Amino acid sequence: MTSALSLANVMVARGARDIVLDATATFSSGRLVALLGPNGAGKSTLIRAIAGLIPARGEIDIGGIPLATLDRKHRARTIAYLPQGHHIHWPLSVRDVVALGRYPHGVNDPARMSAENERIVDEALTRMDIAALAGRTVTTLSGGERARAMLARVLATKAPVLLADEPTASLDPRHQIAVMQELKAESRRGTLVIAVTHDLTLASRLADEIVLMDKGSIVAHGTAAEVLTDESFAAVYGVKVLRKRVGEETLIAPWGLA
Amino acid sequence: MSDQAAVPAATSKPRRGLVPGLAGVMVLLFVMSLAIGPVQLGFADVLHALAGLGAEENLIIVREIRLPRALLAVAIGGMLGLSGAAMQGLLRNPLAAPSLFGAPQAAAFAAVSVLALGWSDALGWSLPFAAIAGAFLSVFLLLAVAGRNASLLLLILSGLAISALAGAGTALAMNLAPNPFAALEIAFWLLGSLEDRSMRHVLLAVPFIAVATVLLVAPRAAFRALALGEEAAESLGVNVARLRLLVITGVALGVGASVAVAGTIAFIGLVAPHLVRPLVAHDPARLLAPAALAGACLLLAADIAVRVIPATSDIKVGVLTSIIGVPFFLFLILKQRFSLAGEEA
Repeated sequence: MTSALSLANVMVARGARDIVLDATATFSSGRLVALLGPNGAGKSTLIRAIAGLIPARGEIDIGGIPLATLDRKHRARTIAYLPQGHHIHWPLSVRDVVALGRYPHGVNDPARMSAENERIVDEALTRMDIAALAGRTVTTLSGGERARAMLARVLATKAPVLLADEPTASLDPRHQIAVMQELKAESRRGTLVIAVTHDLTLASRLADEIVLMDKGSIVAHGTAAEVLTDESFAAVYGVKVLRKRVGEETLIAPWGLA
Repeated sequence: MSDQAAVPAATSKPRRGLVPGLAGVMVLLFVMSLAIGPVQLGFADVLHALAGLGAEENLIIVREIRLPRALLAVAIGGMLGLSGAAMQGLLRNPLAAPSLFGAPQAAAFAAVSVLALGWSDALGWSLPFAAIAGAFLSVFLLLAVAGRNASLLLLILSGLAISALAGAGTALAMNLAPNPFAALEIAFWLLGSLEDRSMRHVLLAVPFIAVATVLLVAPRAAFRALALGEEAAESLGVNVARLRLLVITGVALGVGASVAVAGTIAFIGLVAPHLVRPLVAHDPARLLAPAALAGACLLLAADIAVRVIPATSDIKVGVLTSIIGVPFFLFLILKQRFSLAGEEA
C-alpha cells in the first residue's frame, strides 16, 4: 500500500535561514497526526511546505506522487490547508465561505453549484453544526463559530490530506474539544489529518500518532506513550509535566520549568 | 453530527435585477448626455439624429460632438469602476484605487511630455500612444523594483515611488515648457475632460479597454478565494503571483488608455465599487460588472453635470469627480476607522 504522505529529508529555507533542517516521516490514510513542538520549531513551515505553498528541498510524495509534479488544481484537490488565525477579509456569507472549499473542484460561483456540490457544502455545514448560520456573514460570528466555518471550508474540499495549523488556538475549551473531535472523525473517514497544536492532553488523547519537532527537525514520531515522555518534554520544551491517568487516557499538564 | 439535515439555501445572491437596473440607468444617462448641452435637444431629436434622420445641425451635434463624448464616458467610467473593483479585490482593501500602482500618473507624465515637447497636434496619435506606453513602462518599472513575486506592501510602496517620480516628471515638463501656452495646455489637459473628443479617440481607447476588461474579469472567482488570504487562496489553487500580474497589467492598459484620451479622472475607481458593494453582499467576484456599470453611470452623470452647472468658464469633469470624490474618500476612511474601533475595542 502506498502511504498517503511521505517526507524524505525535507529541508526548507526562508531567506538565508534554514527553518526545517531534516524531516523524514511516512503517514498512512485515516490517521489523526498531532504535530507538536515549541515555538519556532518549524511546524508551520513544514505544514506549508507539504501544502506546496513554499518551496522545499528533499522529497514530498502525496499518495506516491511527488508533490512537485502535481499541477495546481490537482494539488488543491489533494491537500486541504487550514491556515492559522481564521481571518477573512470581506463579510461573505458563511455558506459562500464554505463553498470556497469546492473551488479546486471548479466551483467558481457559489450561487450556481451543481446538486452534488450543494450536497457536499450542506454536509460540511451540518457536520460543523453551523447549518443555521449559513446565511450569516462571517464577520458577525463569534471566534468559535468562525473557526467552525473555516474548518467546514476545508472539509468541503474532501481532500485525502488535511493540514490544519493550530486549529484550536484562541478557542474556548468547548470548541477546542469539538474541533479536535471533528478532525478525529474526519480521519476516520479515511483522511490523513495533520494538526499543529500546543494542547498536550488533547493530542495525547485523540491523536493516533504524534510528531515532535525541535529546531527544524523531527525528533520523535510514534504513539503518545512513545513520544510524550518526561525526557522529551524536558529536552524539547524545557518543562516538567504532571500526568494523571483518567481511565484509558492520560491528562498531561505542563507543571514547571525543567 | 454528520447526518444530512435541511440547510437553508443561504448563498447571498446579488440583488435580482441589479445589473439590468444599472444598465438601464446607464442607457438613460447616455441618451441624456446626447440631449443636454448648449443646444438642448428632445429625446425624439436624439433618436432621430442617431438614426441619421432630422436636421443637419442636429446630426452633427449628436453624432459628431456628443456621441464620442458619451461613448468615452461609458468606456472610461466603466474601466475605472472595473479597475477599482479589481484592485480592491486583489488588495482585499476597500480603500484601494486604480492609481495605487502609479499607472495613471505615469500615463499622464508621458502625455504631458509629448505636449511639452510640442509633438502633439489636436488629433495626433502621439499623445495617446505615449500615455499608454507610459502606463506600461510603469508596470515594468514596478515589477523591476518590487520583483515578480513581491509582497503587496512592496508593490504599494514601489507604486508610491513611481507615482511620485511621475509627478516630479510632470512638474518638470511644465517647468520646462517652451512657452506659457504649452504650460497652460498641459495644466488643462491634466484636469481631465471629455470635451471635443472625436470617434478617433473612441477607436483608440476602446480596444485597449476591451483587452483590459478581459484581463480583469477572467480571474473573477479568484478574488473571492483571496478573501481567505493569499496563502489559503494559493492552497485552493489560485496562482496569486499571476493574478497580481494580470490585475496590474489590466489596470495599466485600461487606465493608461483612459488617461490617454481623457486626462486624469480621479476617484471614479474608488467610489463606484463602494456604491454597489452592499448590493452584491460584499462579494468581490460579483462586484466587477456592477462596479463597471456604476463607474460608467458616474462619469456620464459627471460629464452631464459640467455642462449644466453654471460657471464663467468650463468646469473640467476631472475636477468635478475629485471635488465629489475626495470627501467621499474621507468619509470611507472615517467609516473604516470606526468599524475597526468597534471590532477591536
